[in-house]
Amino acid sequence: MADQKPTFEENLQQLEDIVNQLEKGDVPLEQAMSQFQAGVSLAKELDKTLKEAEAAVAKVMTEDGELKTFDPNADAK
Amino acid sequence: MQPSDYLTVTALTTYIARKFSADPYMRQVYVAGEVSNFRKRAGHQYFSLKDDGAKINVAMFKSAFAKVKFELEDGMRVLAVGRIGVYPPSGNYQMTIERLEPDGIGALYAAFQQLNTNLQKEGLYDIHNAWPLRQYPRRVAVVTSPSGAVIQDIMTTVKRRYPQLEIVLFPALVQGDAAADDIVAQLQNVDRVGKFDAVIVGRGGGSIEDLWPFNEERVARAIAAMHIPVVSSVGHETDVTIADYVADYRAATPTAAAEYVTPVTKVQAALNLQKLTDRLIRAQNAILQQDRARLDRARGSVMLTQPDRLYDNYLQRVDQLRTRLGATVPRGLTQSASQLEYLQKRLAHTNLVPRIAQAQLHTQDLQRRSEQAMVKMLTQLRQKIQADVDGLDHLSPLKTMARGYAFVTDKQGELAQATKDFAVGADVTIHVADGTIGARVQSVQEEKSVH
Repeated sequence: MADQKPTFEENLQQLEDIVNQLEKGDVPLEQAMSQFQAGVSLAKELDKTLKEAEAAVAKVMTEDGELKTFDPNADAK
Repeated sequence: MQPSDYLTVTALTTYIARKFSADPYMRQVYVAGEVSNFRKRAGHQYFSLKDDGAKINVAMFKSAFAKVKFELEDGMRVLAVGRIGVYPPSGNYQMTIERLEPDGIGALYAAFQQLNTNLQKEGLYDIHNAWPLRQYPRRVAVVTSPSGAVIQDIMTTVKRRYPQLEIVLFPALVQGDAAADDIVAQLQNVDRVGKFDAVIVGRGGGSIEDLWPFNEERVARAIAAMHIPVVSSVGHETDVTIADYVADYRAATPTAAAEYVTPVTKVQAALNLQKLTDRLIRAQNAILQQDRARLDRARGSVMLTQPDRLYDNYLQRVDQLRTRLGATVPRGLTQSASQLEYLQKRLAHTNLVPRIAQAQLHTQDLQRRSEQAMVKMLTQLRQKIQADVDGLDHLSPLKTMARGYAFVTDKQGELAQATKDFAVGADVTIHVADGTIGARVQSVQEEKSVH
């Protein structure tokens, strides 16, 4: 997983901050415009992340410290 | 022995009964044994306790039996506390049980209580120290058996609510002697691997012995030491273990545990995002409208529509100033004029004029007098001069010349008085009383004896 990229949560937080600031209304127009643009692109990205999010595959940590796909029916023990 | 010396059965039994009740050891005995001939009755309970070599009848009154916390079963090993007595009608001695605990479990229970108290005192149960759960987790660890229903339920629930969440199972034994160490090791593994947003630890339902690993102190401490939120799900809802107390969140079921770690479902997340986007657009529109309104106000302002008005005020001021200036100058002049008049009046009122007139008179007098004095002085001077002139007349060379004397001058008009002033042949002028005569020197003869 790409840790350098901001997480969904961080992006959402940033979007929330932008919305909160814009809702206060005392932002100069130029700043408001650039914030709005940032907000829209954040919202788009978040939406994309949500829509394109694939169901994660459950994994199992083996004794060797390896991550393997976990199939609950494989070893009925 | 007379028949009267024989004891009645009742007397004997009373005597025997007294032997039991008087004995301090019999008043409170602790007996471990196996329950036998137990069949639950509505009121008091009657059964036996036995071991390999003996058996004793037992009675348990309704009030004492109501306090028993476990389900008593035939064949169960128990620890009983009670007294020994005799039941005269049957001639049997029996044990009347006051307290009853399951054998073995009782010790566990004591250990549980002790650990519970200690950990609580240490503050490990403090809910204020709970790690917050992430709204949008990416990866969650599960420490449980790979084969139980727990992991299945968690996977199903996560798939339904928030499928993008990655579940990583850390398989662990969850019952038996090795379970506690296994659970601890896997919790530490979770911490070591890292990048988990939460960990679920638990197992399905079972007997108190089955759940026991989750009451072990080292499991409790391993849970408390975690740096991510720990959700516990041990046994059924009615089972409470130390692990449940120490965990940040206690879930009654594995499904509930999965719900804990996915506080926001995918659908809710999409909805929230939609709402946030709507708010973003509304806020931006509000700002735009606000700024547009300001612009319109500014544009419609008098200054822009009728720019003349910008300097209307100045023009008016200039006019006013001009008017005031016009009023000021004549007023100054009038003022000066009236002051002059006033000063003149003041001047008139002084006695300067008569004084000037007097001074003029005085001056005229002085002038007249000085003129008289002057005339007199001049007359006197003239008379004196006449006298002097008369005197002079007697001495005048003209008078002498009238008497026949002459004087000679050279060409330059210089008076020639001695012989040295005459050169032979030089032209001279001889001055006589009635005119002059030109002459030329013929000879010069000096006479030494004259003087």
